[in-house]
Amino acid sequence: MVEDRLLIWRFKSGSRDALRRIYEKYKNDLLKLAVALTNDVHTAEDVVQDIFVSFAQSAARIRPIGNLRSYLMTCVANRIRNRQRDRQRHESPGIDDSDSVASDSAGPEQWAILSEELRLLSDALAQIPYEQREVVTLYMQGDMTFRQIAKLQNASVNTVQGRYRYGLNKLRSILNSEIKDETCR
Amino acid sequence: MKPADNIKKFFKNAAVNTNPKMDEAVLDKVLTAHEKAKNTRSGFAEPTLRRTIMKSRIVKLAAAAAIITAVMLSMNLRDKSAPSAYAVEQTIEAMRSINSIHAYCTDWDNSRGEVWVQIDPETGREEYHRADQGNLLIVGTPQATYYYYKDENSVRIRNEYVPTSEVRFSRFFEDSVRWVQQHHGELSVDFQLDEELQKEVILVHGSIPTQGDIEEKEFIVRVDSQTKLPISLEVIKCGPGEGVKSVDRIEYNVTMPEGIFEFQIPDGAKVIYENKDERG
Repeated sequence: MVEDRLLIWRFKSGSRDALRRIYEKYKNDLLKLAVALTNDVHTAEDVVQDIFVSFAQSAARIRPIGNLRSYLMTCVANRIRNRQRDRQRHESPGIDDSDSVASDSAGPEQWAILSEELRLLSDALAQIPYEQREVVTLYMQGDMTFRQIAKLQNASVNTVQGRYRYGLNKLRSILNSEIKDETCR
Repeated sequence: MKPADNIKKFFKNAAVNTNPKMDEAVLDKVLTAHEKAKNTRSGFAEPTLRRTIMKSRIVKLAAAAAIITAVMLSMNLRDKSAPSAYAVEQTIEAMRSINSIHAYCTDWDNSRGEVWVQIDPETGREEYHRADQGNLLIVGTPQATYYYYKDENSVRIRNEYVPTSEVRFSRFFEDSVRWVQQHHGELSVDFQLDEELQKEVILVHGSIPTQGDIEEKEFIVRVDSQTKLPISLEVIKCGPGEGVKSVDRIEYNVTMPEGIFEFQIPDGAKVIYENKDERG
């Protein structure tokens, strides 16, 4: 936390090293979150890259308060939510319609390399409604509180807790059945 | 062990790595964007791109309105995403057509609250209000203002309308600007890309120095760049017990829920009349 505040101050003063450190420190977390929310590696890569570019351009506006990780996580969640809304508006297939976690092998142009667990998790998350997926992911992986997620989703804390319970139950049963299937093969 | 039995562990073990070559390419893009922003905006030496539009010593109250109108802030930035101009008067004008407000607030003890205000758009004066914040519920009507203290189950009643704040809620921006001028303060404007809203918002920063009985005050009003209406207010400095810490969200011209300004004295509540002629 203290390190983050220092990093932000240095970044605001124009330090390239501070920005590099922030990038190194959080890129994997943000990619993991974006993959879990989109179930699409290429979209996830685009979103995280956009977030870092916007962040790099915002030195004059960032204020050294709060939690940098939560801030970046919220930016990723908002960006994905907006992309999804835009896609739905244009009636093209949305994130929920994507078939699987993009390409199976990391090509030379692919930035993120996913572990098998992340692939499994991402596929399972894609089978639950987006709002539940968002709550479960931000709570489990983003370490965000229900209150913070409620603010992001513009919903009550009770609603968010409900989404969490439903989402978690579905996710548990999906993962259990997938593991059983793999064992049977 | 079944990993699915422990979703949290599953999340923990699900990892991502990055291709070092692509990593460098992305970082390069990020650093280039950073450099470009540095060159475009000279905001790095001074952390904010703030443009002072009024300095206390040169502002005379009589000339205030003229100054506000005259100081159209032209953004001569090369960043094309920035709005071209903003005048404080645009927000003052936009707020003059408001007939109701619904706002969410946070107090200094971090309790959250909700306020409903019905306004006469002609005068900007409040007609009714309901403020529910933490332990206290206030309902203001033309006949009386009720203060209900939930923990004590007691009601204090004044036989007059007591406004929600010293400034008119529907004209708080206008009144705050005037108040800053009267107290030889400063007002400045900045622009910020709001990540949550995904659009540029206008930040109006006001401050007054300590003087006489008045303590130092500082606030930031976030203004929607399209409607020019305030969307939130953050109080950075003020005297103890003065106002709320922030107004987190403001909605305008909303339909009031039925009965929102009706107040029923709860069963068994202790009632205190503040005005002599109302005492039973």
